[in-house]
Amino acid sequence: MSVLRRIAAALSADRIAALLFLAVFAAYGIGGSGIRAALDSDIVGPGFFPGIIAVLGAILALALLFQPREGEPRPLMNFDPMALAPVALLLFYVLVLEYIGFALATVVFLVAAFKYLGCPGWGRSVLYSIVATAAIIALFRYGLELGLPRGELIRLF
Amino acid sequence: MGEVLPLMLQGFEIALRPENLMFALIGAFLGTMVGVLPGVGPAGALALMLPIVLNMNPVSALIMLAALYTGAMYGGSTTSILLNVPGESSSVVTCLDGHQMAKQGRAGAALCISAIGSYVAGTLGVIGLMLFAPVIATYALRFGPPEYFALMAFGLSAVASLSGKSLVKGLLAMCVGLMLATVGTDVTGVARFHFGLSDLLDGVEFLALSIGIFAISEVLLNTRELRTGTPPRVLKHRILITFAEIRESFSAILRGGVIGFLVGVLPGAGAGIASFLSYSVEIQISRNPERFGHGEIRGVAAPESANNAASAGALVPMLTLGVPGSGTTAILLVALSALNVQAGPLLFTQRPDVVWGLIAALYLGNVMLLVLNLPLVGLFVRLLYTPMYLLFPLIMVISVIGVYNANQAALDLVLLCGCGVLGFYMRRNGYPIAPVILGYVLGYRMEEALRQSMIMSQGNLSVLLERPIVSTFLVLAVISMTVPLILQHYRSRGKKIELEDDQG
Repeated sequence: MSVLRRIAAALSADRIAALLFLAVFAAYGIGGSGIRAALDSDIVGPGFFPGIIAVLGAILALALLFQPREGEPRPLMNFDPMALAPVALLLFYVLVLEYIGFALATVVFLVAAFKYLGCPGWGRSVLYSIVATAAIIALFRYGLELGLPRGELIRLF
Repeated sequence: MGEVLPLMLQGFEIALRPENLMFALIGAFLGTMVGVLPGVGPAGALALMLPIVLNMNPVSALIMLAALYTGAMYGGSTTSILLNVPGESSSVVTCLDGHQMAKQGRAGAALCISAIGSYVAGTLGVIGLMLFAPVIATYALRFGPPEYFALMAFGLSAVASLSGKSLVKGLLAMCVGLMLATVGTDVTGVARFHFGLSDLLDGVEFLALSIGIFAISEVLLNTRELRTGTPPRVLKHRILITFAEIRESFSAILRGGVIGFLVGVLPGAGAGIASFLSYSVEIQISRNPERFGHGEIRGVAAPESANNAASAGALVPMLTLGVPGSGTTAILLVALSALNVQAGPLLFTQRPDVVWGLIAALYLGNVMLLVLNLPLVGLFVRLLYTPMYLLFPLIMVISVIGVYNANQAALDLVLLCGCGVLGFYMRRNGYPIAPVILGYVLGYRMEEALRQSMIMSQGNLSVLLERPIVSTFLVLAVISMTVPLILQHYRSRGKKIELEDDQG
């Protein structure tokens, strides 16, 4: 673990990102070069433009890797996973949306998100989320006639 | 001009009839309201209204649609400024400085300059449409694939090299955007980089990318601060714009209007490219380019003016040649056909009432926007006083609805989350996010133009450099990338000398 930490300390966040970019652009370029053209007469081919981007991206990633550090490197280990909690909540919301339906999923998501972000009291969170969901459904489904998922669950009843 | 004036007056006489004025007002109001919602946008707003207006008489229907069009263009900027949620590609650039202004308590000024810029540039666009439509339309047709490619390369390089502190990071962000643009089916119908997912055959959904990278990352950055005890400050917002701010932005509005109109005329270029290009021109000619991205009012005035003028410019090829320059004008063309009006060179002579009524309606739409929206600025700004714990989750829900409605695909929503995390990472680590969006918006068209150019030149691109427009844009692209590098070098040398002096 200590070796890993030492390696991590030697690499700045930018250098880690540069290695990641290099890997992504290399994979992208290799993937693009294997795509065959639909027509033999196509002198350019579907891999030509991705190839240019991959080469340009790889050169830039190398430039980022070898450019001199400015100031103190950003420490890698102080990443706060809780910063991504709202996106985890959002991911859960979008994954259940089509299954349990827009109304129920939105109420549950809003109660959790309101509470997580500091809304005082559960009762208030529930009330706000029900009112907001009803207003959104009225506006989008009935006002603008946009499709909101009704959910698979409703078909079971 | 002698022929145009009576026709124009006839157009205004039609558009100023009480019933048509009412339709223009309703159109501008509905357009603004619908344009505020992400995922609906001008094309969506027009499509929503089509079934209603088709039962009206053609002139009134077109007047209402024109007002709706201008209203929706303006509405998109409201959420960009207030919430960092761009509804469509043309309002992405407005986020960069508009939202920073809102964070500094200058949301009112940003919204006002957006309305004023939209009005002035929209008016310029209408004048351009009246005077130069037939001439410009024929010239625009001479703009071939190599010229398009060079124009886009210039716009892209300028934004990528000037939108952040690090040139390398800006260009890397641009490459990420270009890479994402190649996902899905290419111009010849070959599927690429779709990982076996049929939902990706049409490419990465634009709204998932733009809303994720701007709005969701904004929410993540702010909620992090809410949780760590340093919540974003609730500022007292100034509602009105000052005269000094109007004076400061006026030249940017005029430049944005001219650039927007000219780019709008090019078929396929559209308001998105117009706004990016006008923004990059503003940065390039500014004495203080470092202010852009940090709440510079010209960074709002220029793109907002450009996208409105582009909407007038896009009508040039549509009316004179029957070629729609954008998705929105394509819907307008459908509306014209449904109303038994055939767009094309004969339209100006056969149905002058429709053409000049529409042109006058566009102008009226701009007036309506100003009359409607300046008093509404205060109301919109009040949105920012909503407690953060209510505002952020609601932004996420409305973003989800906007993205879901594009294709009704769950994958787009997962992409939204992924792009949110990508935007969060990039912003925390000093990568500008605008080049990602610009690369994505231009990538497909750039590839198409490059491939067509290669075919035209039989694989020998050097032939294309002999074309004067191509070489001019490519030289400008090289300059826009090298000048910041040289400046950066001199600045860092200056800093080193200062440090050595301090130590000495």
